[in-house]
Amino acid sequence: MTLIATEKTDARRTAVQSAGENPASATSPADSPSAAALNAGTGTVVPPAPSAPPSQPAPALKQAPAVTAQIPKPAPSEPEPSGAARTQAAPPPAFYTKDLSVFYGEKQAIKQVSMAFPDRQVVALIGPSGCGKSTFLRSLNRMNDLIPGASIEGEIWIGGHNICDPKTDVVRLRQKIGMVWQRPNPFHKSIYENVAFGPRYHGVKSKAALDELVEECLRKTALWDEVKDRLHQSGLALSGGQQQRLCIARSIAVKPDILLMDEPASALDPVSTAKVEELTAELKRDYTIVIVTHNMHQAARVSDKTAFFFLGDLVEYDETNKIFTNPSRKSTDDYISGRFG
Amino acid sequence: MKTKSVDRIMTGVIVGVGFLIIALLAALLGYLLIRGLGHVSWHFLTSPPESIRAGGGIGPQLFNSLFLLVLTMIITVPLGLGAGIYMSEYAKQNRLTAFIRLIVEVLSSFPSIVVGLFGLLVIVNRFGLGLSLMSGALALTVFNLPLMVRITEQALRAVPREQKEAGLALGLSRWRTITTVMLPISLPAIVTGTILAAGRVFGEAAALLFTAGMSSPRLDFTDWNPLHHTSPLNPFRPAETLAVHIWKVNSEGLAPDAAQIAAGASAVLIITVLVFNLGARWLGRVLYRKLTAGR
Repeated sequence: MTLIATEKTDARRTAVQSAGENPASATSPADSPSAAALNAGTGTVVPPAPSAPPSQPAPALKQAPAVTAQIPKPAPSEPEPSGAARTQAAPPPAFYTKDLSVFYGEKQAIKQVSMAFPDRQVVALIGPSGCGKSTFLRSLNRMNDLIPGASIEGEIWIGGHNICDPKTDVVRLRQKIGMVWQRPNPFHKSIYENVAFGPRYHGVKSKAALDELVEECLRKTALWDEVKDRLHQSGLALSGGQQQRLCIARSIAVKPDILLMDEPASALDPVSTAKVEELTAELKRDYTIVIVTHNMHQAARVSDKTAFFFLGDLVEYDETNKIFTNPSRKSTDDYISGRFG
Repeated sequence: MKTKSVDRIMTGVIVGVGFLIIALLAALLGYLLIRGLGHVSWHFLTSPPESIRAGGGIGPQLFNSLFLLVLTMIITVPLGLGAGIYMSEYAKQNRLTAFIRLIVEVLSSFPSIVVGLFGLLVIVNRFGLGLSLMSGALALTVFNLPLMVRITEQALRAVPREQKEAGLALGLSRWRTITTVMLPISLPAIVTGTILAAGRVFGEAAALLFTAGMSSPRLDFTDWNPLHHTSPLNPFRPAETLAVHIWKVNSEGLAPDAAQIAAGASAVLIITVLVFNLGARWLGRVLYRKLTAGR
């Protein structure tokens, strides 16, 4: 815990505190900043003045009318607002969900979850197996569409678009949202090609530009020195940990804004896990990261905010520090202290 | 103790069955090759058959078999790949596709003589293609296509879901994900399946009796214009294949060396199938390595 506290800058700390607001009561602060964020792309926007955001509607607010129109129904598991955290406005969330429900056939796997994801921070989703955290993650880039019988209700607002809208161009959406899976899944191609494949498809044609991009991505994932002499060997020849970092390099090569990680270290040995965690901390300078993990120590180590899911409900969502030291809900406490799950 | 001895006995049985199959195969191959190879010579492979004199060859038949194979594959492979991709990636899982799948299975287990008669009535007579290579290729497509569809579908389904998702998550369209991520991975399985389908073309006789015919016109192997009547490449000429020739020589051959011709032709047929299989496997490996940067 102390590690997290020392790592954070003061600025971030204040930002986190206010962003730690539960999603429902933070709706109005979330609106105008998000509207502002969509004007200026991700993250580059200065947060609006700290004074009460609802009374000060940004002109861009019209762009997201559906959100302001109604007050979302409070999540069933809402913690009591913690008072102190409300004094400052949240920084613009990179994206947020509103009353998001996911169904597999008749079964409801996610129950009306509203969550705001602060820009360039790591949000960890924890909870026992089958609690819906992976489902939630996979609905953020509409990957759950691939599963027969899966359907989605509610809203996910990313960059001013509700991506649950059936008219959404999922292909373009997914380019903006990188994904990393539990088991490393490099393409059956060379190391170089694994990274260059996406950008080339999206229009980077010149060899020099591709070379540069590949090197940049591999450096960012701390893989360059390990593989620079064998770029044209198969990506499958790498070790599990290297493969996973290759997969991360592959996903950042298409310049996404958001990275979704579905238990990225659960199939790796401790050393590789540490590397992936380090990498996650590095990457949050450039990307908003959502990470699903079974490992609570990992959540505590890498994340700024933590959301506890249980049986499809978002039970508690707060600053990681708070969740792990002083959770508001009893079930969170029980889970974290290992009484179940 | 008991589990252990049962385990040992079952292992013995399974190994025994394995050896039995290998022995059977070896005996069959050996018999055909020993009987036939003595008769195989360059002359036998290249000269046309004789109807009443000894010393006839199987040149045109060998060529016809190969050409028919190519022709059938040209029709089957694109259709089979397309339908297989549709069935595995695009079609919804519902009653209709389940029905299509059932039909495909039934089609592939049709007795070949029935397909032959169907070909005679519909392709040869109704469509007026006559007894020709093209009719034969279309008839063979009837049972090669289902095989090809199922092979492609299964090969694509066997691709790990994460691979497909990785492609989609990079912002690739569905089509590009299939062609650039999934097909390369499933290529070895598809190539193997194609070989199986092709092997049937070589061996098929019954379906060709009524569609490709039992005679071969005099071929002029110096004329390669597909539009000429005597050109070997003309797909609209009747063409007796090797398998049909074996059947014909055995049942109604008048040449004094009919038995040797049949034996020799059988040996050649088997060797061709073997060479073709090995070649296609090698091709599949090379393609896979090229597409996936080796392993």
